Amino acid sequence: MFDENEIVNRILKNDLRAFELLVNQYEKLVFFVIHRLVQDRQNKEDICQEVFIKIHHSLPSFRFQSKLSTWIARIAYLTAVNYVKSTQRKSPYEYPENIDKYYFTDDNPERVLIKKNTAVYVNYLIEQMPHQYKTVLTLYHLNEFSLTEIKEITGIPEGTVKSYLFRARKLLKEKLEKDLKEENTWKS
Amino acid sequence: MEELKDDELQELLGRGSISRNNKLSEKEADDLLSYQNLFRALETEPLPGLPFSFASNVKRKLQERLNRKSDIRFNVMAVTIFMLSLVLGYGLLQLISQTTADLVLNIIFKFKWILFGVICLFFCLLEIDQRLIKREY
Repeated sequence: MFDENEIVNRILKNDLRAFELLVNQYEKLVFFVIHRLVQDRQNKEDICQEVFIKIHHSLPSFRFQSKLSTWIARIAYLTAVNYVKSTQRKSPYEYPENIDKYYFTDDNPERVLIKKNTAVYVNYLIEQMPHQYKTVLTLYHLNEFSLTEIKEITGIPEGTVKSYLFRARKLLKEKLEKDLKEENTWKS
Repeated sequence: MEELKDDELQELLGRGSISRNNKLSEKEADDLLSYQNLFRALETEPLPGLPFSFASNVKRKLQERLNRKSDIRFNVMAVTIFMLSLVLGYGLLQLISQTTADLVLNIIFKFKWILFGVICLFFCLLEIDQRLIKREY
């Protein structure tokens, strides 16, 4: 049983074994956020390591005012956003200023190849979405945070989080339906 | 109207309060199926994930940083103690015998570059030693 109070207190007493337990407990949470927001495949593990080193460094300022997972997710989110900002010029995708006007562009050969596995294809589509959509989808569906917790993590108002979530899911659903229809037409 | 239906379906699916008993039109049932598939896909963990050794890698990296920090603290302290002991030694010598103190100071000035070099060499060796020796964690 993972007791966050005990683990945090042990880490504050310089117990590195306790820190390793914390990393084991939250590595998936951090990885999901970094994986979805950072395009650079090579650096994902390094960025995850940096997040945990930041967590160790900032732990003395953690006052248990929120859940430890929310606090960790916020550090991961901010690290990812800073990384994305610093490498923005390298991003292969361009987004409209108002992300409500975002839509998926046409197929390319890579997309056609991975369509067969829905989960992989959905991940591929999410990769191209604006980071607000990626964030809310990841935090809600993969990390299972509530809308209030997502607001705490990202600083985005709860209503906006909800609308991003609905719109992102609707876009994905429509894209999947359109692809399925096209595939059926092509087969017949 | 259709937008509202989409939102409602998502909301119901999110809350898990939709069942086969709900009376749905054909279009709504199709939409529901699409959303159920999408939700399943969204909950699938991305692969490949982090390596199994990730936690121990982070621990090792952190240990290295902590050691580096403590080495720097040690080096700064060593330099400070060395300088203070020189000043203290000279001060004590002044109290015991001013002539000897002046003589020592003259010798120090005469060989200042050699002394400076020896001190620098000592701290360089200390630094190299700290960087090269791998600790066992």
